[in-house]
Amino acid sequence: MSKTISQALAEFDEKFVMEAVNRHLESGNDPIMLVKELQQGMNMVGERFDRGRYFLSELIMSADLFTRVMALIEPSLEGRAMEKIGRMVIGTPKGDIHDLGKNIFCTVMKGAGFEVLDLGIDVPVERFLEAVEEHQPQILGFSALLTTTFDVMKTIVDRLIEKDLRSQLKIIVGGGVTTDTVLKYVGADAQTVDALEGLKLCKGFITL
Amino acid sequence: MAQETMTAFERMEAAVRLEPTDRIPCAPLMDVYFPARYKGWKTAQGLHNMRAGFEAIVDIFDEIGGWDGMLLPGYSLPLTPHLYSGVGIGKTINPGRELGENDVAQFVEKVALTREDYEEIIKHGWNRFKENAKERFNPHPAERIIGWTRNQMEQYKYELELWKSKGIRSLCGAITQSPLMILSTSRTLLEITKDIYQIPDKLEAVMDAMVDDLIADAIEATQISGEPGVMLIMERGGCFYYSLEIYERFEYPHMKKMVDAFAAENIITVMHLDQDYTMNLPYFKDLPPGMVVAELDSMTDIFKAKEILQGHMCIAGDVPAALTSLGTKNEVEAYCRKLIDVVGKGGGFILSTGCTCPVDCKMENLTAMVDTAKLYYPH
Repeated sequence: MSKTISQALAEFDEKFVMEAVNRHLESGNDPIMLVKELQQGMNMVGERFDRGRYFLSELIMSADLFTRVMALIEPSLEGRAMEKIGRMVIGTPKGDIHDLGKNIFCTVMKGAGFEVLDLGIDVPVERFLEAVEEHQPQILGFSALLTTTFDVMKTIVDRLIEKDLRSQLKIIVGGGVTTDTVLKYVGADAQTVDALEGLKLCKGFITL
Repeated sequence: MAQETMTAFERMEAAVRLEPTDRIPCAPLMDVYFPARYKGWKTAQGLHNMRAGFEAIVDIFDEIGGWDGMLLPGYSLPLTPHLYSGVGIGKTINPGRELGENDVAQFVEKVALTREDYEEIIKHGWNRFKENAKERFNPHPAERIIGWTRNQMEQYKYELELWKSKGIRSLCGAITQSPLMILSTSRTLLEITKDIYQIPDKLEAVMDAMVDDLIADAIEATQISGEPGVMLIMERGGCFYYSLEIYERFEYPHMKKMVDAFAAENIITVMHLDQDYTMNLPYFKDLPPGMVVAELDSMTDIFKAKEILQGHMCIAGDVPAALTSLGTKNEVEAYCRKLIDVVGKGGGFILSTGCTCPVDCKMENLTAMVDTAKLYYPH
C-alpha cells in the first residue's frame, strides 16, 4: 500500500510530498482537502513526539516541509475560506531578536488549524496592543530567550488590562528562559518551553 | 557558618576532582552586562571598554565580599597566535552598534556556511578553511586581526593578575565548541538538521575534519592561559533537539575525543550545556572521572544529573536566570540550599548561575546565592 501525503509529511519525505501535492493541484483537486491532509500529517508528528519517537529535529524537518508546501498551495486557496480552530497573535518582545522557537511553534499551530498572526521579533509594546485590538485573537503568545523581555511582557499585559482587553484573551509565554516565576510575574495563563505542549495548551484554551 | 579550611582555588579544584571540600564552592558565570547595568551604565559602555567592563565585574565581586572562582575570567580569553584564531564565522550583533545602547549582544541565526564549504573543510581542515575564507568572514587586514588577538591576550593577562590579587582564579583559560555547535550556529539549526538527515556521511566527514584542529587550538590556548581548564560549549546537541541516535553519531564521538585529548594534557573540561541534556547524562559516565564539569543552565534535571554522575563528574549550576532576575532573596536562598543539600552531598558540586548571570539580576539575589554557599554546609 502506498503511503499518504500525511504519512509522507510525518516522515518528511520531501520528494513524495512535493510530487503528490503538485499532481493534486494540476488536476484541479480541492486544495482544502490537501491542507487537511497536511494538517493530519502534522498531527502524526505530534503523536510521535508525544510517544518519544520524535524529537525536536523531526518536528523541525516536518514543519519546514509543511511551510514550503503550504506556500505552494496558498495561491489555489485565494478566496476560499479555510476553517480555523482559533486565532493567535504572537511575537518576540522588544529587546529580543530570537525566533527559532517561535517560528517552529507558529508552524505547529498553523499545522493544527490555527490562524497565526506572527508579529516577528523585537516587537514593541504598542504593536502587540494594536494587533490584539485589530485581530481580536483568542490567544496572545510571547516567545522569549532573554530575561530583558520580562518587563516588556508585563507591560503589555498591564496595558491590556487597562484597555479592558485582557479578560477576553488567554496569554501563553514560551522560550528557554521562561519559568513558572515568569508566568506569575507577567500575569500570563500558561508557560512552556515545548512547542507541542504549547499547542496542547492553546487547544485547551479554545475548548474551555 | 561553614568552617573554612581551604583556599578558594583548593575548594574549586577539589570539587572538580570529586575530593572532599570544606564547603560548597561558588563560581557564578558572569559577563559584563549585569555589572554594567548595576553601575548605572548603558550595557554598550561596559562592552566596548574592555578595561572598564572587566573592572565592573570585579566591583561586583568586591561588593559581595568575594566568591570562590570564575568559570571564565569575565571579559577576555587568550586566543592562539594564528591568523585563523580571530576569524569568527557566526554573526553576533552588539549593543551600541546594531542594537540599542542598553541591550545585550545576541546571536543572529543566519546561514554563514554553505554545503559547498563542506568540501573545502573536508579537503583542508577547519583552520586552513577559515584562513582561506578569511575575506568572507572577517575582511579586516591580517595585521588588524593579529593585533586584536594580541590585545585580547594583554587584557587577559591583566584580568588574570587581578583575580589572583583577589585570591581567586578562573577555572577555564580558553573556550572551544564541539563541531556540531559550530556548524549549527554557522549553518543555522534548520540547515544543520537538514544536513543530518540528507547528507549524514558528508556531515560526519566535515566534523571529523574539524575536530583535530579544535583540539589542538584549545590545548594551545589553555596552555598559554596557564589556567587548568577549557570550556567546551555544547548548546545544540542534546535531547532537547535530537534523538540519542543522532547524538551518538554527530555530537558524542567528537565531544569524547575532545574531552579525552584535554584530559591527556591534564586539562579540565567544563562542558557548558545549555538546554536539556537529561537523556544524554549516562553517556558522560564514559568521560574521564574527576576531569570534567557538567555546567547546567537549569533546563537539564540537575538532580537526575547528580544521581547518574555522582562520584564520576562534578556538576555546576544551575540557579535559573528567571529566579535571579524576578525571584526574592529568600527564594534564591531556598533553591541554593536545596542544591547544596542534594547535589552537594558527597561533593563534586560548584554552585553557579544557570548559564550567565542575567543582565537584570537583582544584586540581593546574587548576594543570596554567594552567601548561601559560604554559610550553609550541612554535610
